[in-house]
Amino acid sequence: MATQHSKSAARMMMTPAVVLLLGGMLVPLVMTLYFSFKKYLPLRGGDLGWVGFDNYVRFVSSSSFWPAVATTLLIVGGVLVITVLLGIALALLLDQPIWGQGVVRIMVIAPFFVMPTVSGLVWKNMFMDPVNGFFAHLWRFFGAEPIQWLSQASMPSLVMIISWQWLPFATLILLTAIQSLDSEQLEAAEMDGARPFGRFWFITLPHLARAITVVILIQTIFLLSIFAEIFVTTAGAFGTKTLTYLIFQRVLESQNVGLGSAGGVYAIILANLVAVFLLRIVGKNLDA
Amino acid sequence: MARAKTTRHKTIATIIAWMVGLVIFFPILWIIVLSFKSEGDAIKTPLQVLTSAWTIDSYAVVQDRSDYFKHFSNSVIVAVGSTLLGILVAVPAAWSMAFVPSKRTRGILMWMLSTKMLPAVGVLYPIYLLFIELGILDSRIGLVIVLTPMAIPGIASTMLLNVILAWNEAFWTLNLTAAKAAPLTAFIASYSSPEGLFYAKLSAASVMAIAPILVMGWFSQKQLVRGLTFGAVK
Repeated sequence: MATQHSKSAARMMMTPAVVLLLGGMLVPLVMTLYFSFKKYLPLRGGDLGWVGFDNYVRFVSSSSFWPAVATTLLIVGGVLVITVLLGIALALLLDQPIWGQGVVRIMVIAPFFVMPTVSGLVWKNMFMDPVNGFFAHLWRFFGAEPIQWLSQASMPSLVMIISWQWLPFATLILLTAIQSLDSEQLEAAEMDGARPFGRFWFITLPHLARAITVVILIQTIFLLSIFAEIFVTTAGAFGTKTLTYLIFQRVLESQNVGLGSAGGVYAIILANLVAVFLLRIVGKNLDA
Repeated sequence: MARAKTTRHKTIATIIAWMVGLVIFFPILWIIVLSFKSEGDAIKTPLQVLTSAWTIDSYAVVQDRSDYFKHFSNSVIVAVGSTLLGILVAVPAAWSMAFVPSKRTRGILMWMLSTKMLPAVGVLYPIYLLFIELGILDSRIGLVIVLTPMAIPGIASTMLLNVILAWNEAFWTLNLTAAKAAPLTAFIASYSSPEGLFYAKLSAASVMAIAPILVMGWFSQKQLVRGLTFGAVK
């Protein structure tokens, strides 16, 4: 239906968006690449010339690299497992007939809208503080020694905080998927004698498969760049340095721009790999 | 017989659902409570906290000391500004993609969505340098410029989501601002240095920081799902 005239008009209308995105993406990207091949220490001598792939090698062989990768995988993996499993359970629960369903939904969804910085601080001080925190009072009430959450169990604490923030996201999406399930199939199965667990395993779960995949992929992309929660709770101490945080430290704290930029390139490659998977799924849906 | 079973089912489901909901919501509920208590009361055991006197002192002190409203207006300007700019640019693009689709339309849309997945940390330093060169470090304009390209793809899906994301955005706002343009994320982060007993003030500050977005988010749930999953889940 598109005439020659409207085609060129359309192209003009897309231009600002494309140009802005391209510019906003390419310019910093090129600069990062540029820096990654140099030795650049703003505080200790400035631009010290080209060093080829030196920074890339140094970044991967630094003693903090593999621990950071492990930390990142642990946090992302831990949060994914918790949010998907609990998300499915919660979605099933919220799908039931309940009085005051709207209010319960609001309560369950709320954590997602809390700023990560607020979330980190609230959990760190009001709940996990070993002297005055809520958990400390609770532990003492039962006669036990309060746990030093963020110093002794820093990874579980972080995973807990981040899971609390992202559980609503998983729940919302899975709930939407469950509610799109045709109830006729389930009713037919029930009439044929299938027990609740069987109905869940063979009908509901496969239907959820796509939604679960979407949740996992999108969460992975966002979780890989988690920053604020770590920044305000442990600042990377006690083994909570993720890849993102390591790069941030290299660039802004130790001011080794070349090294940090190389790390940034690694992060970009990683994120793109995940993104390719997601876009394939989204693309399939766009056609359907 | 069948009716009784369904009502009993509903009652049990309701009880469990409410319990779970309250547990999840509890941290937010708790800081709302704490924000209305004095510092001395805020650190006591939960039972004592609940029975102590209510006060709005903490809110007053927080506003006095760290100027909530300046940060609030910064957040508003940055979040709304980048979203509006994004709309200006994205709506024509979305219109043409919807009504005059070409062979490359899908590819372009996919590429646009993929730019949202560029990890910010990868380009932190160049942007930081650029901002210093242009003199826009610690400026609202600077934040709007950075957040606008992030807003464009999302606007193809939903506008509200972007206001929320920009509002809560911490990576750029924490690293690119100091005093003049610091939005609420920095406002809260400034409470992370240890200075003794300050639960009530931190709670008040936190409630003030998250209240606007909580309200907005509650109103936009359905759109949120579509927007967050880029339409992958209907």
